[in-house]
Amino acid sequence: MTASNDSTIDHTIPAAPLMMNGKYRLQWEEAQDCHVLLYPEGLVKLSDSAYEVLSRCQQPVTAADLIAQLQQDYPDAETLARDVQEFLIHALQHHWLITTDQDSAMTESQSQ
Amino acid sequence: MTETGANHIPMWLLAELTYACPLQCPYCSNPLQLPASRKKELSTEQWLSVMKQARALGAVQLGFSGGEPLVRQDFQELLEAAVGMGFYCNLITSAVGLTDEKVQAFKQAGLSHIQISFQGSDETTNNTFGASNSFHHKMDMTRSVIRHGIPLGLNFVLHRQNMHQVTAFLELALSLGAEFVELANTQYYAWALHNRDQLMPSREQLAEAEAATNRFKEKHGDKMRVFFVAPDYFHDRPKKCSNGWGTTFLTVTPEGEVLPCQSAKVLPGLTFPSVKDQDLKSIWRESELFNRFRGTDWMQEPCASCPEKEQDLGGCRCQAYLLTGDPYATDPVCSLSPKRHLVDEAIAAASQDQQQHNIDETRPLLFRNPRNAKQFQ
Repeated sequence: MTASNDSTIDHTIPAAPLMMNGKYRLQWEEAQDCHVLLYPEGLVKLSDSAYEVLSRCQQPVTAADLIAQLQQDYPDAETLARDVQEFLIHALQHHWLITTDQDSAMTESQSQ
Repeated sequence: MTETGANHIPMWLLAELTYACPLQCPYCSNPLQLPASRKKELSTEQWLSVMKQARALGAVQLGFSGGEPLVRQDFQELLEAAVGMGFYCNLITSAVGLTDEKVQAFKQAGLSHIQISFQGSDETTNNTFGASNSFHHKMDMTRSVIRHGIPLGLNFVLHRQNMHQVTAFLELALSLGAEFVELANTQYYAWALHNRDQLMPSREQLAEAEAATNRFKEKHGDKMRVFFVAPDYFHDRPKKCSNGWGTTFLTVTPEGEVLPCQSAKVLPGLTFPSVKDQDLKSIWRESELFNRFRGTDWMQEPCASCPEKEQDLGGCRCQAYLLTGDPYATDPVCSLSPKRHLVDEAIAAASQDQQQHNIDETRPLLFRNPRNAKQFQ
């Protein structure tokens, strides 16, 4: 299953492990009844599935492994692989996630 | 649609700890009427109560601002308490009063983010507009914050007299190791409005600064994230007041007044509730102030029948009042406003000025300090 996922991972998602940007913080907010992603001077309310993905990126994980894990835990979610990839692209564009591969690493891991 | 406070959560608490400031920037967003002393400022206990009440209402982003928040001797105590309550804490500072030891202590306390402001890209410009010998200290503290690993943003406030320094400032920020830079154009409220004729750039100057920013971004890619924030006046649609009046932001002033935005105290005919007399929840949900401009019911034409009214909610109430004299008017930044000419005239006057990089000695900038504030009492 993992092998077939590898071949279908969108080419814009790096193959190297991804992880949460250290500047961002996940937190449950009672008043909003949802998880939020907090970052300098801003926040994003997260859907349950967005939280499910990000919470698994606290440690480095490749997109392929992440999708395989989620498919195992949610076998009935038919469009899961596609949905997760769309979300990962969004999260990378917004720097919520960074890649741990030095060549394409965001500056967050490169401060002097 | 009629809106009530119960529909909204004040996710952002801006704690203006004090109006005292070692700088005297002539574009300061603090009120023209500065208090003569700090005696009426909220006590440590009162701030702790404000933060606790705001957190209970759902506030999660906290901005420690001022003035210069580090003037408060109890800053570390307030920070530690705020972190303990679960706030994501942002410190908005000039870096004057900051030391390497304090940066380390703030990091240990759990400060999430520091924003340091610069007034120019070189010593002379920075020290002139801040009226403070602070340039080298700001650079040292920028390095210190980066060394201690606190996420940092540099904020460079742009106006006609320093706008040509955009590239130099971005190069400086990059050499210091900054990851995030905001090029924030002066917005014309309070001291900046008073000094508008001396601060407002021409369209050409603004376009050149934006082009220089884009050239820098192309050259350096993702290494440093740069945001260029143009002045409202140069747009043809206004922006929502504080993401929508009474929807997201809660500002508490040094003396405890609670405002929907930093400048709301200029608006006439309103009373401003204080945390000294009332709890935050009832102020947010039920006060006349917070309900006055919630939603769209208060609008007059051309806003009331405008198909875009939900997008900008009529724009900024303070700007409407400051430029037209009517707080219910359409924000004159909007090209549909019958008063748009007021904005166009200000831009045209700026463009006609041939000496844009020089201080016009016949119209000196009024620096923000207690002495100059006396004329507005």
